[in-house]
Amino acid sequence: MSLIEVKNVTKIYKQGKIDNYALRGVSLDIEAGDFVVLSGPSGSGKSTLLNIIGSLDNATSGDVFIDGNNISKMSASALADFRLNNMGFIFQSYNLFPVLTALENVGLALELKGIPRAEIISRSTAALEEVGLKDFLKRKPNELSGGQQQRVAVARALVSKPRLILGDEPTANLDSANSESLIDLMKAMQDKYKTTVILSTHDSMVLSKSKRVITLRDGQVASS
Amino acid sequence: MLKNIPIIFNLALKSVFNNWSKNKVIIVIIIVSIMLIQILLGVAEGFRGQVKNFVLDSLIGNLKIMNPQYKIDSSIKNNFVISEHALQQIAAMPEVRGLTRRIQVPTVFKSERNIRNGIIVGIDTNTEKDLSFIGKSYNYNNFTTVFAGNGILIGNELLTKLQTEKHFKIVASSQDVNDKLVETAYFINDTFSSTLPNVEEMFTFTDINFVAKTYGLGKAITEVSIVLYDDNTIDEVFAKVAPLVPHGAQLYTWGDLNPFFKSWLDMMYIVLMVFFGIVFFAATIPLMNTILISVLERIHEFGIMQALGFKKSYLFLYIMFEAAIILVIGIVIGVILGLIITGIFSYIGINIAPFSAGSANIGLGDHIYPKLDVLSSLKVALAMLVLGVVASIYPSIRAILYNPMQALAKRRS
Repeated sequence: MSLIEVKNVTKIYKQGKIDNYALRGVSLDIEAGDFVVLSGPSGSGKSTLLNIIGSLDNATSGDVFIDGNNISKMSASALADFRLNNMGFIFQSYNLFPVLTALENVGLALELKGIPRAEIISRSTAALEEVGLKDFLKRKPNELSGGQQQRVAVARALVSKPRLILGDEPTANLDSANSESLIDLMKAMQDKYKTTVILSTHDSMVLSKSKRVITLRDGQVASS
Repeated sequence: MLKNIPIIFNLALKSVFNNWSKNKVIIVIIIVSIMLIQILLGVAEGFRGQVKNFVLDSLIGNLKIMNPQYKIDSSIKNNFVISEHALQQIAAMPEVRGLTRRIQVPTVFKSERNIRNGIIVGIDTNTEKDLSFIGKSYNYNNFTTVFAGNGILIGNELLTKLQTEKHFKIVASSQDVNDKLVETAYFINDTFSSTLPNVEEMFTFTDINFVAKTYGLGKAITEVSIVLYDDNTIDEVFAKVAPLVPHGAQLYTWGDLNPFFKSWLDMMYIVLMVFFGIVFFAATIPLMNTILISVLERIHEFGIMQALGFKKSYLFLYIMFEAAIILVIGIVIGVILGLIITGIFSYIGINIAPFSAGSANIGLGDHIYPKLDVLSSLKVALAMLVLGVVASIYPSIRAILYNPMQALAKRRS
C-alpha cells in the first residue's frame, strides 16, 4: 500500500459568487521513502495540493489517506496530533520562532511530544550538527543567514523522525549555492532516515535532482 | 494538555519579552490604569475615612447607649444607670478599643458681657483619652488640673462669643434631674480648639462626677460611648452588647444617630463603586483592543505553531498566558507605584485649603489624607487581573478561528 493516496481531490476557493478551482479531481499515490517534487507554473495548484496533503488545508471534496488514515475526516485536534507525530514542514520563508534559539526551535516539537528534556537537547543538538550548524545552537533566527535558517528548519523537520516531510518552495529565498546545498542535505537525510519527502518548486536544479516529478497544470495532474 | 502547560507558559514568557516593544504599550496602559485607580481609591477612602472619623469623634463613637427619650428631649432627666459589671464586659470585648461614660447637660452660659447656649459635657477623665475629638486633641494629662475646683474647659469660639477670658468665671444655668433650675459658677481654666467653630461654641467639658453631683444624677448618666478598632465589626459587636444594655436605655449605631452622614457616606460609596466600575470598563476596552491588534498581527506565527502540531486549545492557552504575564507585570508595577504615591500623599496630604471653609463642616480641615490599605490594593489588582483575562478571551478566540493554512497565509507584521 502507498504511504500517501490522494483520491479525486478538488479544492475550490470562493471569491464572491465565483468559484475558483485550485485543484480539479487530483488523484495520485506516493510510496514510502520517495523523494517527490510537485512542479508546475504559478497557480497550477502545487502548493494547494501540498498543503492538503500536509493537513494544513481542507479539500473541498475528495480524500487523502496517509498510511491508511483518512486525514480529510479528522478533527482539527486529531490533525494537530497527526502532524506532530507524522509530519515535518519546511517553508519558503523558514518560519522559525523568532523568540527561540536554533536549539529551542528544533526541540519544540519534541517538547510537545513529552520527550524528556535531556533527550530533547541531545537529539536537537545532533540534528543541528547534521545540518552543519553545531556552532549556532544558541543563535536566534535574526542572528542567522537565510541559508542557515532554512537548515534549522530542516533540522526541525527531521528531529522527530517523521514519516513525511513537506517543503513548500524551500529554496525560493536562497541563492543557487545554498539551494543546491540544501537539496543535497535533504536527499542525504532522506536516504539516511528513509523519510518520504514532497517538495513543491519550479526550481530546475531541484527538479533535476528528483527521481519523481509530478507536474500540475490548471489544478490537474499533467504528468506523474 | 496538562503536561504541555509548562511548555506553553515558557513559550509565552519568552514571547512577552521578545515582543517587548509592542507589549510595553499594553503594560504602560495597565500600569497607568491601576496606579490612577489606586490613587483615586486612596483619596476617596481617605475622604470617607476623615468624614467618618469626624462623625465618630464628635462624642458619638461607633456605638452609643442612651435613653431613647434623650434622642427626643436632651434633658438629663432622660438618663439611665448601667452597672460597672456590664461596662467591664463590654470593655473586655476584643473588638472594643474603649468606652466612656458621659453626661451631657443643656446649659445657658453667662459671662459679665454675654449669654450663649451650649452643653456641659461631664467626661470620665480616666477613659475619655483617644475616644473623642477632645480626648484626642486636648492634652489628656491636663484634665485633672483643668477640672479642679469648679474648673471648666471651653472652646475658643465660646470664649470669644462670651467676650470673656481664661481664668475668668462664668455662670451655667441648667435644669437638674427634677427640672429645677441650677446655677453654677465655673472657672475657665483652659480653652480648646477644633476644626469647627460650632463645636468650639457648643461643647464645654468638666468632670463627670462633678456634673453628676451638681445636677443630682447620682450614678445615672446620659450616654456610654463605645469605640471599636474596626467599624466593620459593628454588627457583630452590636449583637453582643445589646443584651447588656440596661432597662430604660437602648443601643444605637453611629448611623442611627447621624442618619444624614450615614446615608451620605453610603451614597458616596455606591457612587465610587459605579465610578470605579466605569474606570475599569474604560481601561478594559483599550486593553482588549491592544491585545486584539497584537494578536491579529501574529496570526502567521500561530499558523506555524499549528503546523508544528499545536492544538487550538494550546494556542488559546498560549495567548491567555501571554496576556496574564503582561497583566501581572503591569499590575505589580502599578500597585507598587500606586502604593508609593498614595503613601507619599497620605503623609503630606492633599491641600484643599481653598475649599476648607466648606470642607471643615464635614471634618476635612485643610487637607485630605489618602488612605489605601494593602487589602484594598490587592482587590483592585485582582479586579484588574480578572478584567484583563476576560478582555483577553475575545482576542484569543479570534486567533484560533483560522485553520493553519489561512493563518500561514497572513503576512508577518
